[in-house]
Amino acid sequence: MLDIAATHLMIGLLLSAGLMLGLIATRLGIPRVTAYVFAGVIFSPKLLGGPLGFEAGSATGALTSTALGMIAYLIGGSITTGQLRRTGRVILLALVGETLGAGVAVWLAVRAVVPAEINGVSADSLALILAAAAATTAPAATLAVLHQYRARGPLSEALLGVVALDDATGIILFALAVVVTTGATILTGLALAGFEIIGSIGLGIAASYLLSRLSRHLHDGSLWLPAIIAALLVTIGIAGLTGLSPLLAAIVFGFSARFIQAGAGDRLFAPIEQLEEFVFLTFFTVAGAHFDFELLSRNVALVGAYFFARVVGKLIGATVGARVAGAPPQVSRWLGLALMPQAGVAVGLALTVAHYPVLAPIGPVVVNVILGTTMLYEMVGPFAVHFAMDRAGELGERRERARA
Amino acid sequence: MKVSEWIAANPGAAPTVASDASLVATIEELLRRPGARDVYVVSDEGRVIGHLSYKGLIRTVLAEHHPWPTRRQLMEKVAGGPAREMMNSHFPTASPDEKLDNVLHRQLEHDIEDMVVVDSDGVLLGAVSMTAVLKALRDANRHTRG
Repeated sequence: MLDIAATHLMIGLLLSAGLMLGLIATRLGIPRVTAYVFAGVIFSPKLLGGPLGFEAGSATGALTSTALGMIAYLIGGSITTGQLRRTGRVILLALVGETLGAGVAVWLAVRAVVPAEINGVSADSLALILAAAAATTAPAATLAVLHQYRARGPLSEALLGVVALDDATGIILFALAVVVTTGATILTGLALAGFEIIGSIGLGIAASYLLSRLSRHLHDGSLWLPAIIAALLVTIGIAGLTGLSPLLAAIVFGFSARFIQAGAGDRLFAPIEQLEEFVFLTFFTVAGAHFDFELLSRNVALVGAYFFARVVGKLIGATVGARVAGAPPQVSRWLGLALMPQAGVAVGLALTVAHYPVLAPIGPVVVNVILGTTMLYEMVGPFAVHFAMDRAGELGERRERARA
Repeated sequence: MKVSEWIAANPGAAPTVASDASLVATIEELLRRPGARDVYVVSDEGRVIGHLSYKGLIRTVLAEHHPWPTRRQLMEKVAGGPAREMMNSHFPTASPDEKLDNVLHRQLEHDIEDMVVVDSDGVLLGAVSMTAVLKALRDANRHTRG
């Protein structure tokens, strides 16, 4: 009982510290995310975490996997089949290009700098996990720049579409990467992958069907949040216990819930959307508490390889995809650079690596690499978006100068 | 007072759009009626099938200006779509036979400015406007004091 109380106290202090530093950072014009991570670092084992006996990994495992399940559910529910049909070729092909480009480039770069295995886990597995996480971007950071500089034009529109969709592809790829890497051999891996993918999709659809049946009895709007969270916990819990993918099940749950209950988008997702900032506060502070400077300094080459390979992959992939789709030059040339920011979803994915026994030994490496590069992208990313918009002639002041 | 008596004395209706109306057409319909805060989607048969709130429409149209837009808003902004895909199909309505007090209670509960009044087939009969109710209350108070 005392252990539970102490864990609650430590998590509460961690989140409170993140919140307070976040408020101060906002006043100083520093990204809140940086403050959240800094608060987490204070609770890392080498600082307060050690003396206080706070083990972020074991204490917050259930919290981070639930939070990531919520994000996967929201991302699944943000897309409808009608919207996918209407989304232009440029956005879809650029999305495929930048996702594959970043994935392949990160895989190659990680394989080049990591020996055959790391902490008993094959370098291929580590490369695959990092390659999948590289697909994600940071919609909030990108939009902040577009808003600040009143950017308008074909590049801004394509960018909005790609950042709205690529966290979904990142989560799906990550779930598939986990499925493949947890197989004992390639053959058993592929056989298991088929079972896990089909099973997870079936579980997500079944959960959304049951929620739609239950929702007929939910006349009081305040009951929707508990009903959705209960259904989500049951879904990711069953997935975890039966060896299916909780992430894939959650994203399919969101997607099929919106499909089955067309016209219920607000009721299905608005209550969880309200929790999104709490989820990212959790991800960044917990990731910060995993911060290990020694581990990071031992893996500088890996951090550098991931950072540059992801940028190069997105640049080349988005350019090829947009060109194939016939996008105007300012889109194909600059879209990849504007996709540099990386944030919460990548960090959330990294935190769950330790939850899989086969991958647990590389959990701290993945968290620290993603955390370190996210901080770097947080510093450089907004400038990259601004530069791309400027070169494409889509910044407000540039448009006004051109008109004058 | 019964709702049927209220809509007979206050015949204004809430803005409506067809189910295939675009986001732009929906906004235009809303702007044609200053002060309106709710748009209803009507099927080809004249049944009210969905509700769009002013705030929801604004959040979609101005998604890129929102400090923390949701992915749903971003996708609706990017991919667009007809009113039937953006609408909320679970919305409260009023029946002509119920008491006006009950309708006001539901309007406040669901934050709806203009609540549609529909018959048993869901066909639009009129609307109860919160602003019109407030004006009526004010006039009644003046009359009592006077």
